[in-house]
Amino acid sequence: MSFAPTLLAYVIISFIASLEAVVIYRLLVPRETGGIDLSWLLAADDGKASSGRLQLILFAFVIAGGFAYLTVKGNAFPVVDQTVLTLLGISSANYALGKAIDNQTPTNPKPPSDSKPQSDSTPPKDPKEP
Amino acid sequence: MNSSSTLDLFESSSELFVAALGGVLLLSILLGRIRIRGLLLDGDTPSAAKLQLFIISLTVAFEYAMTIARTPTPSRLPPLNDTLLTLGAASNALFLVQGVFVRLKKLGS
Repeated sequence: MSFAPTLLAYVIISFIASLEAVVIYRLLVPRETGGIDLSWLLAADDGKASSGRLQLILFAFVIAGGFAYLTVKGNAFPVVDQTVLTLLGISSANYALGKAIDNQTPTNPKPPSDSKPQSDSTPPKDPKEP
Repeated sequence: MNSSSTLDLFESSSELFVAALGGVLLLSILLGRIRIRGLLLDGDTPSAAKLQLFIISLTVAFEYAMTIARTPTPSRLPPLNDTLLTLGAASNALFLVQGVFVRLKKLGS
């Protein structure tokens, strides 16, 4: 390998490795000191943990970890099997549909029947005013 | 350093990153930095649909991780067992049906 491509490879690897180190460091330090807040990673909009999110993260980690492991073992990118993609698809569909179902529940309570609509309570604008 | 060892370094750093990320997330869950309140509850009551999804997800993930560790051919991610895939699909379907049922009940009341 000649000097220029080797240098380029080192620069790229150093950049990616630094990026990974920064992400891990930011995940470890508290939010007050510039860390990444993970507290809502598994939580849905209502603040409760979501099974769909946990499942998606779990499957993504196992597959990504397996991919990295086999890449190192075989010195080449492995072919991803169709059944693995199906599993990820099922998990992602569950997450998306679960979110859609959750959003069907009305979260804003209806205003009392005796309250006036907002348009009636605001005085009409004078057309002469700029 | 030749091209092969440069590639090895890059691949190892990727593997290390995935492992470290997994470790940080697990640690954060154990230390309570990631909210898991309500993971197995529906409102204030335990949810059977969420529990079965949780158990089956863990089973499928563990089984597939073991399959990857035992695979003799590193050129291909091993196929997932058909039974496990069907089990996972059925579990997700059950969870969604229960979710729809609960929402319809809430909307009706």
